[in-house]
Amino acid sequence: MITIIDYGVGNLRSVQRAIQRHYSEVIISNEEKQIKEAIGIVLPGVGAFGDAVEELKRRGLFNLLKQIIPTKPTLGICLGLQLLLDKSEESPGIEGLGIIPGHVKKLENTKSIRVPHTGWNRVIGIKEPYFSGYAYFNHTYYCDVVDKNMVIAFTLHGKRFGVIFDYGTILAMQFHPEKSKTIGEKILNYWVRSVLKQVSLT
Amino acid sequence: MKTVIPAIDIREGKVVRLTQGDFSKQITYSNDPAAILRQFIEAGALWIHIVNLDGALTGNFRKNLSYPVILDLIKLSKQAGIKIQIGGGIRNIEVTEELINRGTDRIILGTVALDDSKVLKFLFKQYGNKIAIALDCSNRKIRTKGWQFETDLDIFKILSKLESLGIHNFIVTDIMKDGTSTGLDTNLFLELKDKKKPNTRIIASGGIASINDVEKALMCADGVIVGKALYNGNIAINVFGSFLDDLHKSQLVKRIIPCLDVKNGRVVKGIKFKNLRDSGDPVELARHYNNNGADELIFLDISATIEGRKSMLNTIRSVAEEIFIPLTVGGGIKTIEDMTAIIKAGAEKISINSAAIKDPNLITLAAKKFGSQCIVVAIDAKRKGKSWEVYSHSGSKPTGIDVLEWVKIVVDKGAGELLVTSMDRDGTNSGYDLELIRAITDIVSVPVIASGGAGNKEHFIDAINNGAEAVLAASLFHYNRLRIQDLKDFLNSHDIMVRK
Repeated sequence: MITIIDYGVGNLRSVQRAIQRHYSEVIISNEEKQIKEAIGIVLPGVGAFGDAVEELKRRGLFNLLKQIIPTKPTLGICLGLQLLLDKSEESPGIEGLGIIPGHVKKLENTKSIRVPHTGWNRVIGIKEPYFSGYAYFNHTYYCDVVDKNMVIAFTLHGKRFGVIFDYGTILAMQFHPEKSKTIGEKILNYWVRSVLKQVSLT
Repeated sequence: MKTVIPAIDIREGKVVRLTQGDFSKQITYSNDPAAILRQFIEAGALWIHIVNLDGALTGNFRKNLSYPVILDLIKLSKQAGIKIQIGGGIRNIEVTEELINRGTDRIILGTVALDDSKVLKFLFKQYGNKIAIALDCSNRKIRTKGWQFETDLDIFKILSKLESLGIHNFIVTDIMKDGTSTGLDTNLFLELKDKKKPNTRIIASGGIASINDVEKALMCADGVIVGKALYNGNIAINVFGSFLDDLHKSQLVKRIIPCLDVKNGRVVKGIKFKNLRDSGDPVELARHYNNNGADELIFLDISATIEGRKSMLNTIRSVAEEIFIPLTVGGGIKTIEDMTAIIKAGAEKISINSAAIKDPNLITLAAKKFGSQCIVVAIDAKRKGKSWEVYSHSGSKPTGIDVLEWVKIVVDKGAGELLVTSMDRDGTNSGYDLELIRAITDIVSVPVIASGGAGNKEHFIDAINNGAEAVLAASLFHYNRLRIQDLKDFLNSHDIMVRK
């Protein structure tokens, strides 16, 4: 079973549907048991950083995820990726999960570079398995990670920033794979297969 | 848009550079062309220039070690989403067809264009914009067959002859300069710029030795090919990458958004907000747009009753199940609870209008909960003298608020995007209110969706050129008067980036 973490906001059904195209047993839950027993977990995200941290804490998920994510294949999506870092300029003073060392920073806007970064932009894969193509973004903040080696793809919007991160048990991305057609399908398929491979190894 | 195109010349399957087209002055730079291509992709190149030198020398594109290598490079470019142009010994229809079918974006013809105008005419008719002609010259005279033969043909005469056949992509190489790293012959290119037809695109090649040369080339040509300087270290790859980032800025595409006005579970479109006509089932239409190139959908709930609103949540759920493009929902949203329900049902963004006018702090509350990127503020604007007035309640109530004042307030309060409808233009098919779009995009830096008045393809270009990040239309799409794919092809041919 793959468990999508439900922390109150966001359109989880479309994430579920998209993953179900590759693996049938996908549930949406905030229960400890279903998170612990999952072969892989998905941390989705629509919303604001501070609000999401609060929602995770209110549901008793914050510390649980902090322990479990480093031990279990995890897919982070959009805000779900940002939550894995230490902190965010969106919500000063609020600590993130702190699993990926780094800060979430605001994209700079100019007249030609409009922020929020909304719509389809090109993802350029720079490391295996070279995920590339147009993906759907909708965000104001980006992840500035300490160890740049984990960046496996980037995007250009005023500046270059990492958009897919491969770090230990984590595969996480700034865009929405569930809304990104071809590249989204590829990533979800790849992730599900790697989760199943983990299971068969243990 | 100006393009900077790194070159990969392949000989016997390896990456090489020649000097002045001389095969005896060959330097091999890499045995791994794919690794070189990856390097250019990582630098941020949007186009790659590939030459089959074995093909250029023998006139046979396929019978050599470079051919299978080039097929791999095509595949890699497609995976990376970048464009590829290929030349070198492409002298017949069959090879051109094969390369285009495999995904080549542009075929470069050289000798055949000069020797056999029948083949050229056929290929141009078949592939149009995908055909480019290489004009290799020394002292302004054309050279052919891998630069081995000098001719008496004057480059300017040949250019105008080919232009008269309708061809408008040319790659001009000054072979005296090529591989010499002595800078571009800017006089030649300035003269070409002067003499060419307005829609002819000239890509310059030969002699580029520094970023400074690249900049100079872009001033007198539409694009430039960079070869040896990237291999011998004259232009370091990271310097090249930063240059490309500054040039391209962003590859965010302009969005085409069909808007569906939904009342009691059916799609309707008002002509100037009156005389509503029923134009279909929302799920059916959403699926159609998802499969036919829409980048996003907007649903506006114009139901007046509680039952109507409840049925909207079901509609959103069914639509979100069906489509893989983002959905924005607006109409009658008053509270954070309304927004939560709609986002949970499957919308990516919510759009508020009258409720924000009543209480602008609602924008801040919503942005704090969902993030600014989720909050679209819709504005119905009507001309009032030299300015515009905000209308509320589906355009029925004037508010006395000035539109330009209002956009500053809503962005300040946390709006992540503006959906601006010109009430004067809505339903008229006479084009967007460009002054309105320009005035708004000049004072805010969030994306603006232009709405109201689209009647033909040109109208969309006008809106985008006046600052709109996205363009919205309804009846034009719903009644199939304009196919989104045709619109995208049109925008693409006008240098506006769209998602194919």
